[in-house]
Amino acid sequence: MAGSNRRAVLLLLGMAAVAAAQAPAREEAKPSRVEGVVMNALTGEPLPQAHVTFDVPGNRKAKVFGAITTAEGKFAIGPIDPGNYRAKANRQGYVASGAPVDVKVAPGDAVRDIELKLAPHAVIAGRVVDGNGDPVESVQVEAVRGGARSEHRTNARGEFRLGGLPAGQYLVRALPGNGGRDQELRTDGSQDENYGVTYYPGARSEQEGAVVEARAGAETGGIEIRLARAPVVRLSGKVTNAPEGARDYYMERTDVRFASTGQFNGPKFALWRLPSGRSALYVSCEDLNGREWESALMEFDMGDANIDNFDLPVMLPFDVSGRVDWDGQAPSSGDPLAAGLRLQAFTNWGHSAEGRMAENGTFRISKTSPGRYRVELAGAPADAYVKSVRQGAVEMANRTVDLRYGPGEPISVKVSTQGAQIAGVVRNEKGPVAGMSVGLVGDDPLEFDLFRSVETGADGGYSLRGLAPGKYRVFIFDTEDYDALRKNRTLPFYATPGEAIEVREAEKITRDLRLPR
Amino acid sequence: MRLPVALLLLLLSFRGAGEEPAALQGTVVNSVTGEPLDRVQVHLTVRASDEGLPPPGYGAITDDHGRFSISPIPPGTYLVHPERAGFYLALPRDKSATAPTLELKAGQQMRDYRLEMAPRAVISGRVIDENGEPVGNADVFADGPGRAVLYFLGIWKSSTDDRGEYRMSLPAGQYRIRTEVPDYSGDEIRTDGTAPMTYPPTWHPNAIDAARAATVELRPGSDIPGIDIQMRPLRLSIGGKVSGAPAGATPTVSIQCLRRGGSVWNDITPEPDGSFSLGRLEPGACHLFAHASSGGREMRSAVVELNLKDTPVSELDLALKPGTDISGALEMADKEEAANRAVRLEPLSRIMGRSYTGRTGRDGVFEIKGVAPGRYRVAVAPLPQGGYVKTVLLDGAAAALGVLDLRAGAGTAQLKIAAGKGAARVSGRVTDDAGRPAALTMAFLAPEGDEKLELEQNAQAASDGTYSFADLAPGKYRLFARGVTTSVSKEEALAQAETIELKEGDRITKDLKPIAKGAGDGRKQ
Repeated sequence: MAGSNRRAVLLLLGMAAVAAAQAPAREEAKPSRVEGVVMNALTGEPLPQAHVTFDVPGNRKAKVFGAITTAEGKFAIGPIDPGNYRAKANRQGYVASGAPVDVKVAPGDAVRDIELKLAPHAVIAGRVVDGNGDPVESVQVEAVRGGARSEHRTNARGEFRLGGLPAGQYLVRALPGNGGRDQELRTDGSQDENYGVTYYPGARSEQEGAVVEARAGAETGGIEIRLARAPVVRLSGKVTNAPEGARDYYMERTDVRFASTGQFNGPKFALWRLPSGRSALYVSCEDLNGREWESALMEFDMGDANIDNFDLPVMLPFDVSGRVDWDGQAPSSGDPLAAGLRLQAFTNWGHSAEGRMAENGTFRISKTSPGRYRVELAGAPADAYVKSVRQGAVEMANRTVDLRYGPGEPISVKVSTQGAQIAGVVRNEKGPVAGMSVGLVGDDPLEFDLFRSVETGADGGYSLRGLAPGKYRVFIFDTEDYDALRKNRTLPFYATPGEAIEVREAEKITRDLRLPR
Repeated sequence: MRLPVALLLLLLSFRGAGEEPAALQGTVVNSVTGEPLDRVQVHLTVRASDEGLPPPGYGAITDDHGRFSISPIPPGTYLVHPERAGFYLALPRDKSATAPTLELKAGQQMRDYRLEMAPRAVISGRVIDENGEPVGNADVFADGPGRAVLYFLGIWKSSTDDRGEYRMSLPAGQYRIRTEVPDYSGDEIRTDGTAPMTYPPTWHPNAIDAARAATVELRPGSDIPGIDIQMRPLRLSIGGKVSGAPAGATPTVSIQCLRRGGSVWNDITPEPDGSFSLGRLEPGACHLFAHASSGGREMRSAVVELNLKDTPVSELDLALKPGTDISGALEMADKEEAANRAVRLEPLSRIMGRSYTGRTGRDGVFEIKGVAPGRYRVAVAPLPQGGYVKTVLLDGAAAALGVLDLRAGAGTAQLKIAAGKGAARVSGRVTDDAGRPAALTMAFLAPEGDEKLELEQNAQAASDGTYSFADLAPGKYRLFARGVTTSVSKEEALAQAETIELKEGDRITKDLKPIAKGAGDGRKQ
């Protein structure tokens, strides 16, 4: 997986780096302790035999503490190391309910009355049949919101049960295998039966799928998916610009759900029966000196027709150079370098490189892989934004740079401190909701190159700062869907984006959001 | 998971261009009833290895009389793969192949091609925990003779639903049914008297050891319910103490445990008193050692190898040692030849062990400092044609099987190595019962007395079945061949290996048959 999902961060690091977090002073205090209870969110009863964990999010090296709840649903951990923990409970047949619970444990503290909630899971059950109505065994079936939330393979009767679901609305899709076959010819007038990803009840796309409502502690049954026939189409092309004697051709194909890899003899390739929808393809090969030549991750949208002549130029890693300038008035420490400016660039699918900024705002990034990158700021003043990105004389759309075909012209980035802001509070019928993900995309057509997201704080508030002037849409989504969103480049079906919000330079707009139902 | 094969881009050759086309007519029947099978999708794909894009495959569907026809079809060699829900291609029992091949010559009119498909058997059951509660989301695997066939049919794995139930269809055969609960969590600290538990892979009805699994016999079309699997949580941990750490040095304990076909590596820092513990482990082999660096010198403990069964292992003592300083001499027939050779000490424990190299001076003298505690074999390179390590003397005593035992791990040692001339060689062919080259087979060779196969050499048999071992010291050896995918363990195979004796300069030919049945399989027949 790691290889297919190369994290894509191209960093231009200012020397004035963020100060390293200070190590906490060692104190000889009495041991810290945490206590609490796990409740059934539906009945309000305490829940015994639940597994409780306290871990430090984002720190895999930190110790994890755990406990099992008693017959009264109570748990206690002590001694526990001081730290900022996220508390979780789990038990088979239950799912987390409500906002995440963060617990700060100071040296010598006894934190009591921590309440963790679990709700009985929802179940979606049904079966999968083929075009003739015969049940199909061993087909992967998933309950989907943005990404998959629960999966199960059909049994020998074609039946599936998707358990472990939080109550909510889902699409249900089946992912039949394609038998590993390429093109197949028929001389007897019969049809090469090819089934594609199918959304309940029998749709070939997410948009046409029917929404299934799942309720806590209940089973939604009778969900019969009739696999949809899909035309047998191919993606074909060749690797271009390959060095003499190129060998060890390798490719990775990534779609929203899968990554698959393979070797091929090159330079030509043909891939059959790919899932429809958005995918990206990457190829590499080695030259006689053992150096790796690689292509960008090139996106394509597989429909009902062949895609031919999909050519992928490969190249050696290259250097990218350019400069960063302030637009208009610079902040007090005028030099971008001294301001601790960090330029971050990424693609929706992968690839990365790192470079350093010189004192006069010029930068050079060595060993960059081809790709289309989005240029962003980090470690800069909160209201700073990338005002424009030019490659040579060409103004690039959406502050991206196109390095798919090589380094091209030098890049110049203009940074302004006059970014706009959209802020507000996320509420449901009971009041503000913490820990919700709020996303922002460019408006009309939805422009995912501009996708940003933040989580609401304890007061339910969110704020998106450093926005370039323009039209946006904000929406609430499930944090788990972040990856699917980035790759899909469409809003998940359950997200209800409000009307477009237009911001002007340095404007501050308040927009509260309401969770549906 | 969808088959990744589409991307494997099997590059297939196509000989048909320009040749007179062939024609194929055939029938698919139910192998049990002999009746024709309708609605079978028959797929023909080309397999070869030339460059270029694969040519298209051919397909057809059977009619009410089980008949299908493909005409015209380019001549060539095709893999035949019929598909119908609830059935599988009945192949002769001994086949490891997943599909039969069919050769069509230019102009050939094949009319009577016959395929037999057998109804799949169905097994079903529940996976429950120690309290009888259902275990949802557990994977259920059928371990049988033809794993490749199962994979090809896409039914090598099933999974339980939220009620702990599963139901899967399988070709006839004998199976052991195994379940695994996906568990990616690591160790955690408990202070409430409970302990982190793991549910290890378990075979029907409740065995955590494959040898104690019950065998389920399936006939075509049989429907066998009640194949339940009860899982029991295990509290398995490894713990002990690191001793001998110099003041100021922070030791690390590295633990590598095999787990479900892969391995998991953990580096843990012991408490200030040297004690360490790692929990939530599964039954299987683990290797661990402690290491620390002090004053620019690395200290290590010996590598401890253990096999976790169903109880925790504690009170291990990992004693850090500065290592052994070796001064040695290499003797060769011609004294001049002993100069400028690399003497390498290779750890017997390939997992976690490290090797050490010393280079000989003009007089064959060499030094190797700080050799970590452990056992090593001695290699000298390069050796002249036919050269081999003849004797190894450690502090004046002959090392058994040439293995240096440096587990004491401190102080100094004298090493004397004598190289001989006239290394032996053994080679031959590995063939199946019918005398054909056995595919995917390895040949193994180990000196007699090496019961744990620590000194084994192995060689993959070439496509014509040939193998060879060269540069061997004279002596007695055990020799056997074993299929790469066999369920016969190396130890089981060793018990049935033949013994050969090699004298100086021998070149012996020895043909082998893969050892097909382990002791366990033998009993069941």
